[in-house]
Amino acid sequence: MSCKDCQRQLTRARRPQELSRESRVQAHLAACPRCREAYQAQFELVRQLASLAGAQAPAHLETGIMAEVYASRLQPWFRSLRLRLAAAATALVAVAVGLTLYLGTGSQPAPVTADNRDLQPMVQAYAQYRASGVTGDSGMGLMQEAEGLF
Amino acid sequence: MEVCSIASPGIYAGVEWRVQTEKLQPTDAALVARVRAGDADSFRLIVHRYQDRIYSLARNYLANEEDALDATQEAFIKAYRQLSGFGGRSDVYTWLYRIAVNTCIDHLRRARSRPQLQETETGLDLHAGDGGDPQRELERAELRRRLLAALGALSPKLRMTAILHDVEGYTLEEAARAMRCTLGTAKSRLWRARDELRRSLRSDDA
Repeated sequence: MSCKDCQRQLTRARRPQELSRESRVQAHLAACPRCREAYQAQFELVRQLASLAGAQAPAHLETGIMAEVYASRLQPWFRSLRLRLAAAATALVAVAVGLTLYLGTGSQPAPVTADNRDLQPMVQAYAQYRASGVTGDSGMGLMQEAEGLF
Repeated sequence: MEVCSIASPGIYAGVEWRVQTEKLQPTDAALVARVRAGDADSFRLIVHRYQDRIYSLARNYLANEEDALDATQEAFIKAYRQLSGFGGRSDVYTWLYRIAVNTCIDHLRRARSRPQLQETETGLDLHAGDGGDPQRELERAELRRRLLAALGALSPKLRMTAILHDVEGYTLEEAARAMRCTLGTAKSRLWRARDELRRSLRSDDA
């Protein structure tokens, strides 16, 4: 076994016992002082590193985590409620704007469009008739017909 | 307690035992299913089961008590939020550990600072407990300080490999999975990490 192969075997191991059955490794270690030194240094280092394991989390950690968990569980509901409130507010504003526009334009004369353009002379004549207060038969039949239209 | 009530013993006895055990000590998969169904309290059991190991990893990796607490908390919260995406291909602990590894690496990257060894300053020696021999306590604390300093001098990836394998006791295959790298890469990192650690500790001795 070469030193390189021995190193390869050493890398995977955490404890000397893991290599005790590897007779080729053991034979190499017996014959190679340099690898033997590396072997001893490695297991001493790994033994020391292993002593770092096993820390216990402080008691308040679990409480803190669960507080966050409950808060994050409520978040989607809260977010959707906010969205719902925002949507309701937008709808209210839209209705208010619509009503304002509708009521604001209600007292204005209707705009002239293609549909009512031909009736405009009749409308004006009817308006004059109403304003003059004249009664009688002359032309009134037509006016009354016009009135029926409106 | 609700158990499987089967009068005849024999083959059904095992079923009853399993049902009882499940109620007393639910499996990770059962807990995940409960949490997914909206039972956030079940997540407390997952936290309780794994917080020490995750915290130990974070503390050794970040070498700072406050950062370790933050990273552990962050890892569990991420896990809770990502639980719906947990496909069950790996076991819960492996999945949780991977999240913790990434969280620690991100945490270190964000901090962009070398570890601040506050443990001895704050009197934090969480698992020494050597029957109150002050001399041995002191030696142990000094060794911890040196080891954490040496680990802190490694690059983040070498450090994580050394902690997963040599401190936390993971196999190289498990460490490679947690770090999402090949086995060959993990082996090479471990070799380099140990080599650098030895040099660092030797220069301390000199």
